[in-house]
Amino acid sequence: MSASDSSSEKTRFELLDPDVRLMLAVRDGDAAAFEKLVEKHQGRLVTVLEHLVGNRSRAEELAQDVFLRVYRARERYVPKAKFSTWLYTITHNVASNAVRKKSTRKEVNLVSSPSGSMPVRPLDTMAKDKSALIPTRMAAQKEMADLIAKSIDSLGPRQKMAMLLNKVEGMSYNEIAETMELTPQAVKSLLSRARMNLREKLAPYMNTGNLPTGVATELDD
Amino acid sequence: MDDETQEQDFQILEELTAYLDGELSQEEVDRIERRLGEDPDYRAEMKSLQATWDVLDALPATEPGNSFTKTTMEIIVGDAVKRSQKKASSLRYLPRAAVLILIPVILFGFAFNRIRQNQTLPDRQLIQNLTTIKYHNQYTQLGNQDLDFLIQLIDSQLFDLDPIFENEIAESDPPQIPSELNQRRDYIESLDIEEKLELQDNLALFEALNERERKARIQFDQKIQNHAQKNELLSVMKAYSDWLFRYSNENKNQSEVLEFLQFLNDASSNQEKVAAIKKLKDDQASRKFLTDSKSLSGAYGQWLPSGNDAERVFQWYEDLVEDHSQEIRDLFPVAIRKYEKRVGKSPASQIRLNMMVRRKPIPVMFAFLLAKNRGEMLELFLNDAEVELFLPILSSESQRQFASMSLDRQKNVLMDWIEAANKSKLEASFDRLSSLESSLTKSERDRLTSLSTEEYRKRLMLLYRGRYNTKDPVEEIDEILEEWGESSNRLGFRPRRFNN
Repeated sequence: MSASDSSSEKTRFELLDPDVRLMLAVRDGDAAAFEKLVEKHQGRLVTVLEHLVGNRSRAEELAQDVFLRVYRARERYVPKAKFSTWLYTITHNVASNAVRKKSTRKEVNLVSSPSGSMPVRPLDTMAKDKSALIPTRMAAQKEMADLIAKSIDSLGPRQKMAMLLNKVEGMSYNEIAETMELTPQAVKSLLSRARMNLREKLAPYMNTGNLPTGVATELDD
Repeated sequence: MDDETQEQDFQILEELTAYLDGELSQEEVDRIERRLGEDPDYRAEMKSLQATWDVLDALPATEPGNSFTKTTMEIIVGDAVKRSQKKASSLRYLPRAAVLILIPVILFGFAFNRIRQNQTLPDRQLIQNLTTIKYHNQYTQLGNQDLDFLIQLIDSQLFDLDPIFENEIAESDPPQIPSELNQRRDYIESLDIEEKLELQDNLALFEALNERERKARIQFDQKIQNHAQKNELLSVMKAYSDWLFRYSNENKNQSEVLEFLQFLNDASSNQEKVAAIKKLKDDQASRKFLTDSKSLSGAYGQWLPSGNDAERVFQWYEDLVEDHSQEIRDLFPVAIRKYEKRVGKSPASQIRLNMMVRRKPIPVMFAFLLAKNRGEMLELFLNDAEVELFLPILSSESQRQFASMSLDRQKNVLMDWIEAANKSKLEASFDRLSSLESSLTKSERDRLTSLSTEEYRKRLMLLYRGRYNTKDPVEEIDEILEEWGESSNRLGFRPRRFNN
């Protein structure tokens, strides 16, 4: 009996999630299907990792590591959840290990561009938006990006992960719970705390009008 | 703030967060919305939390660089190669299966999607180890680098001439790579872009090997390059590699493929390996022949050749046709004249016959002769001596069955087999083409004959496929049908053509 027809649960995921079907094709030897999965998920995966490790080139390396692990595990793949849940379970492990190793080595948290040539905050890519071509707007967006990035950085690793899965990947509490091996109630608490902490960081600017000009414009928009 | 208040505040925070995230039941949503309508502080708390989350919407999705996918896939290919080769060196089980399944599938899966850029190839490694890199995939397919295995493959003649897979006929003249290093750069420059890209891919895979593996590859390559039978070794290696690649890629039954690869891997000697390959090739040939022959119209004799017999029968047919090719050429125009005299000359059939003769001489002419002059062909091909010579090529069981028939019956069965074997070489059945053509109206036929020969052939074949096959370009057929109006129903096209 093949893994794909062993239960109605699996059939449900196969039916509902096109990525599960792609991954099953990968399991059956279709390498082009894997390339499609990489293309589809790389953007969000690198975004999540970039905020988790604070470094773009490191995030890309880790994303490649995640995809490599997924590929290595293809033969054992059994669809028990949405593909993204499985992908981010692996991502969670890879990122946790990376953060742990990093803190053990007591590295300085330098944020750099992929080329390593200049320090850049991950969110400065906002400046590449077409609407960001006006210099003052660009500067404001840069400030905004820095502000958000700092606020996110201030969250604990689990809050940060839960927040990113919710915000970037659009996962439900149950999916986040499965990904992070927590209960849905624990996810609810994590996200509430994350929201509270972020509000604390952003509130001085939002409530007192001390928000940098550009940021205020963004919020007004 | 006391603990109780703190606890209450956090409960509010949690429920509002869940509310904003759409994680509550309808009942809870109703309760919260009632309170939001009544309690301004509660509403302000919700708005503040919402605003915080909304700020994060400014998070842009990161777009990795253009090369991210390509680099990722290269890492995965490199890893797959390393892992399979590591297994090969440490385990007797799985290595070949892993190498054979992974490499062709991965490389071909990605080959078409790769960003193709003409890049300058890294010089030193490539120039120094050009031959090793050039034959990288073939060496990988071989698994353990074993010259004796290649020599036995040459001796087996299994890859000299393969009547079923014509593409794998060994190259008699493999490309000559200069042995002088200073000439190699010019050689590389002279290659076309596809060849350069292939070298580039091979180089990446070669560099993914560890140092010990690279060294072993280089040594094996040197043995081949300096061998007296170098060309034969390279030819047989290519033919074997192509055959294995096609087998592992085209066979839908992957467990059968793995079983075969496992068998090869477990074989205790090269003789055993070669015997397994021969058996598989025999099976492939007979399957093809049997599949083709089953669709032969008319009687097919009392029993079908099976197993190894099928390949032998097929080979016998090939030899027979080759021996009689001149007679076929001589007889064909005579047969056509007779045919035209009987049925009346039509410009379309004249063109068709001329065109077919130019394109597929022997099998097409032979098919025509078999269809129109079977008796004469039987006399020509199957004299008593020939039948007697045929018998020993069969297995003893088949010989016993065959010998139990009368000579006439034997000859008729053999003619059926000849027809089946010949048909397996044809793109279209002559009878079906004739039937299709005769169902055309005069104006349709005139329309066809007004076209160039190539265009005529193309259209006729499209119509043919539209009527008899299922895997052909629907749009093109539809175009013709549209142009022809009512023809489709009369010509008996499959209904699915009109569902698109």
